Amino acid sequence: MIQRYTPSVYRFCARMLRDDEDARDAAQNTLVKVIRNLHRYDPERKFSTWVFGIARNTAIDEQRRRRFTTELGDRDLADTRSSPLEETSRQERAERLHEALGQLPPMYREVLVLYHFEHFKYQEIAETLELPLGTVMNRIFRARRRLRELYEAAELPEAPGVHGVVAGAGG
Amino acid sequence: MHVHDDLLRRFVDGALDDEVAASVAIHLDSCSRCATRAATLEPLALAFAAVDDPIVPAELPHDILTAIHAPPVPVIEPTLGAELGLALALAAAAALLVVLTGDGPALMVDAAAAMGGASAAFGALSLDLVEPGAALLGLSLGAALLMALGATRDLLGRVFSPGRV
Ligand SMILES: [Zn+2]
Repeated sequence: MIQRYTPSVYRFCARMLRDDEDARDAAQNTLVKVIRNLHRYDPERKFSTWVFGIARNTAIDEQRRRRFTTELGDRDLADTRSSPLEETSRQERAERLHEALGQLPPMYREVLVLYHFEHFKYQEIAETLELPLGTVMNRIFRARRRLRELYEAAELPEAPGVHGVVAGAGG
Repeated sequence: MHVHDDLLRRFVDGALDDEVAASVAIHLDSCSRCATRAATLEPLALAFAAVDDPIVPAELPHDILTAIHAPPVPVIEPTLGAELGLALALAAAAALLVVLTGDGPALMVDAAAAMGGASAAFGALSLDLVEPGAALLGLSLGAALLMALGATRDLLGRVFSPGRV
């Protein structure tokens, strides 16, 4: 169970909190809570939505406890599988999206992270957030619209291709 | 029956009302073909695909297991014995300090020591550090200790300064 959920919970926390240490703490606290509260799990519910519901609340707590930062620099976005030309535009897209996501309010960011990165179904997101599906769809639509605006407006720290990779890629 | 292009485009654009959007979402959840079509209409699809996953720390599962198996942090409740000890220690410390540093007349030193001990005990009491019974007992024991120290000091005084006369 730990082996199975640690990667996805950590990824979710890292994308929500945008800080490696905070993500570690939040992921660890989430899984400790999950194990210690297994007796409270309602089998009617999908297990992953229960786990991510806890992850979400834990990430929110972590966010409140520490100052939330929207700075870049927490992840290595390099992908050496692409050609240099593709790499440039790929990196630029990744950086823009990363920055745009960072500027989204957490309530919008979480639905997009769950759908686009964790590949949750819409109904699973609704179950995770314990909200009606219509409400969740409304939130997702708003989130996507806002994200597109932020993506278009995103300013990169340096000219693309010169300093493309977000800090952390080894230098 | 799949979602037709126009409806799917409006879904991706967020142009549907909540109820219609919810019914399209239910279909997309169970139809990979329509879900794939919707994904290709998403303007930021390439950007989402470009973002790599955060690297999960290798030791994290181990750390989590350790945290799960760690014994719960014990809650320290002050016991009567601990409170008594604290009261006694405060009274004795104050008495000892005055006795060892005092070089005035013995009566004044003893009085100051008694006041020190008492104030320490009552200070502990007023700070809710000790229960009243424990404070009283601590005070009594402190006084007894004080008397013993006073006697020792008098004895030492007679032993080490007999020829000063
Ligand atoms: Zn379909």
